[in-house]
Amino acid sequence: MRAVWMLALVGCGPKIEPGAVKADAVAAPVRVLAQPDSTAPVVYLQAVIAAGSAYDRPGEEGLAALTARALVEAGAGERSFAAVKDALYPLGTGFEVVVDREWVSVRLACPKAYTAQCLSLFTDALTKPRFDEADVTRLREAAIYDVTDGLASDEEALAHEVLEGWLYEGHPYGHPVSGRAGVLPTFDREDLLRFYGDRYVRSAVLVGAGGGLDGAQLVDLGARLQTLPAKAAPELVMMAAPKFEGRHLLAVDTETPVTGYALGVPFAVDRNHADWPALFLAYTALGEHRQSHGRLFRELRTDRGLNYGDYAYLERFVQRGWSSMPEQGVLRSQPMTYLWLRPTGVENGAFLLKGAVDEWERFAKDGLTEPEFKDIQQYLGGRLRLLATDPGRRLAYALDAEATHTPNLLEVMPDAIAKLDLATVNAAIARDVHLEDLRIVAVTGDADGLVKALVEDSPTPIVYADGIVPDEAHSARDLELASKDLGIATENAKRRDAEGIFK
Amino acid sequence: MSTLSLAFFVGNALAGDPAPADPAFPYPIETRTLANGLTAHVVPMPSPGVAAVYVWMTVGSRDEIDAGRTGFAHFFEHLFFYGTPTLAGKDREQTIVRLGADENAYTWNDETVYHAVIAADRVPEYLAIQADVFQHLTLTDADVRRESGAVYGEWRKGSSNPDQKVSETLWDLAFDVHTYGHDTIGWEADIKAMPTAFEYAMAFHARLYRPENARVLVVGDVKPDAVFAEIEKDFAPWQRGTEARPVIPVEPPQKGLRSVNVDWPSPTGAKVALGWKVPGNVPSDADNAALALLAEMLFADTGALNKRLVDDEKLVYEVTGFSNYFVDPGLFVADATLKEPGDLAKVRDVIKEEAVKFGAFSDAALLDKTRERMRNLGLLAIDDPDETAEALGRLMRRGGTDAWGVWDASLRAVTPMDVARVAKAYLVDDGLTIVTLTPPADAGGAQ
Repeated sequence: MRAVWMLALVGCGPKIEPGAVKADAVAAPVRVLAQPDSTAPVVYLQAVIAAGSAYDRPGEEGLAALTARALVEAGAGERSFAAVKDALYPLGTGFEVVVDREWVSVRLACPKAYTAQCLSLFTDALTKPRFDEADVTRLREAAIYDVTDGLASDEEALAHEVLEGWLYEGHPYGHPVSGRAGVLPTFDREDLLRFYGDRYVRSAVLVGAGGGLDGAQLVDLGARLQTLPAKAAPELVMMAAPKFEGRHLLAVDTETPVTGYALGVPFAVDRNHADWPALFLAYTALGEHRQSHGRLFRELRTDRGLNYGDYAYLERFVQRGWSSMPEQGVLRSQPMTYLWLRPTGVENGAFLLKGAVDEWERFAKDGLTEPEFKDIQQYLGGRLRLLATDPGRRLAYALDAEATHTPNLLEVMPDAIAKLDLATVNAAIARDVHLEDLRIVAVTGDADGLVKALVEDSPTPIVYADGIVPDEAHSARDLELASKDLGIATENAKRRDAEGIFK
Repeated sequence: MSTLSLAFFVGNALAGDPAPADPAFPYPIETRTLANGLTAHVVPMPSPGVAAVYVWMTVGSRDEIDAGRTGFAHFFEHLFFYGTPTLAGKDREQTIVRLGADENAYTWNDETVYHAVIAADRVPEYLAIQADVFQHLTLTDADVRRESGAVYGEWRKGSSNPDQKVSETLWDLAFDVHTYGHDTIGWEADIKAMPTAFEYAMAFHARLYRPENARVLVVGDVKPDAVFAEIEKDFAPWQRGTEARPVIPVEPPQKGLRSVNVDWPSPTGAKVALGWKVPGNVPSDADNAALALLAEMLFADTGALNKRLVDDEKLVYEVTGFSNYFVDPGLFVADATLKEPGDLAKVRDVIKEEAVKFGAFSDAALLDKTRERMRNLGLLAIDDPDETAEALGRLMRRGGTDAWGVWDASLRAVTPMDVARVAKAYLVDDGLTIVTLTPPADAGGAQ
């Protein structure tokens, strides 16, 4: 058997840009990034594939995600889906599939004693998916539910989906990963086979193996993957995000008497950019995901009790399970910067937005203060160590870096953050954060009222809960914020019903 | 078994014996009980430079026996972060920031859990901050008023979720007197009244936030002797409580099936939930272990329920469920989201039918596989310090210091006859509550 895995890898995978994949890259063995640890009681098998929803052709929105799910839920190799489930049952584990705009991740964590079985299940899913018709039908129906009633039941997720669809209209990012309700019913097994045949080729697949597997098992893993075809995948030409000017509001009307937001703009700074560590620190100070120390959180929730939380993002953030930590496999070559404002009562909808945008603008204009910078720098000195506390997560970070040709955050960020100073951070903010153009999505029980309040330019004072009396400083600031002009022109403010939104 | 050595603990003011590592658990567990009743565990495990610190208070919405005060245990969890005379709320916030801790808390029926993952060398400082708050929390009327808005916001974010509505309705209908009848977040009317609850908050703290109700777990890249010394220094001055704990009303046996339908105002899949009354989740309890195994078999994606409702008859998007999570008698719950509201009765009947079939259970091979599954689920849930502290703390809340091994032994002892017995005893109409949720008749989905 030929040893086809490599411990150290040189990037040779497809980038999301025009240009032919080189012939030697096409024929090369599937790359396997190995992080073995013989003492670990668990084995981690992971793959990232350049086959996310951006590769859906127009009129085929949802095919990438459906194909990815069907790898592990529609039979593979000798096993039907029922047989796959039976095999996994005593192991107490299951496949995890993450699909985003550019990447598909397939993961299987497995108690060490069952490594051989897991290697077979994992490689069969990647190299021998069956796409059994009945399973494909079931998955297709589940995807339709996800983008209709499923999204309608989760108004916060709905706001994010609408924002992305709006920021990337006509762009490969511009449809929900799950697809469109009007298109999904047209897919059948043949479509999945075609998509799989096009995209799941050696040069598009990067595999990771971590934890308690041995050298022979790694060789076995590499050998099993070589049945993937050695051919070039059709290229995706990734256009720039559409340009827009000014501030735009879309108020999506729902039945619930609350108002929450997602608002943002495509962003030029990615992880390879020299300013990224500085902006990472700055955004941690502005509003780290689900942490109470962010400026937005303190101003809007801690000081005013407006809602459950308010956060700011430098790139698309997906939360990993119930933890507050980021998911991997969701990196994009075209980032966006955005805020997430959790629901407040409809009576405070306009005020919440004004307060958040004002804080974001002050951040863009003045940057951080010296004490704030020092605190956050010290914070990240500890926090960065917590990003990956198990071998599977460390492997996922390494795969992200390798697949996207970006630095491994676990390796580079501690040093990069320690070397920053306030001037560097504030210069990066001034250079990169521009908020003149914004798209704002509100999901609200009072769309008409919100549109009117925000374009009319009349004060929208905060309504405190019974008995809450702000101190003098807050009262004065509240008055200012209530009269803030967000600069949304009447023609740029629209409302629509939630129904039919992702047809 | 881990190769980590157990650090010998030299005598000091702490009481208790070093427990040997639990044979069912791969890392050593060291336990000490302080003179004031606080229990502490240190669990060294491989996690370079990182540790988890959990303070597990046996205070939850189960303790909310006073009228008009539902949701208070959770509200108090929010108030906990407001500070002390030596470390005001905003200073505490900044100190935590500088420590780089990933800190949070949650409240459920039986507990409020304050947890953090943190660089291991910063554990002593973090323990000192936590101990200060537990003993010296200071609140003002304004703090209470302001924080109540955040809790209302949390209620709001859940209020548009039909699954939450189904769950809330199910437990409300199933329980007449026990406090599990209300959701941990509390009733909206009680949440609205929270701004004026300053005095009640102080009394709540004095009554329940006491060392005998606390369990500290430190898990990860730590040395037990150093951590115990820090815990002793920080937590020993905490005074025992003087008031008795609330007496939780005992739920009388249910007589007869209960059911209700909820009309939901927006488009969603129709939903059905069935909840059967079952015993408390106590690791040493044989019936509880048999029910847990039964739930795995019934709700697994390989089980008959999934096969019929998802694969064959294609009536639902998913069907899930669980046995009782809580220390007192609670519910064994099954729930499903349907493709068509017209199938509600049929789906309900299939769930009942498949559950009741376990009354004739005799498949020893399947039971063994399920046991193997649960062992592996346990193993996979403890590969980092945070998850390990959570899994261990949860079991210990229900079964004390030896809970992990006791639970393992209970699972090993279950026979097919036990499964059949508990199905016949508990999965019966007399203890059953059913909730359905239907979307508007004209809802065509959000297409």
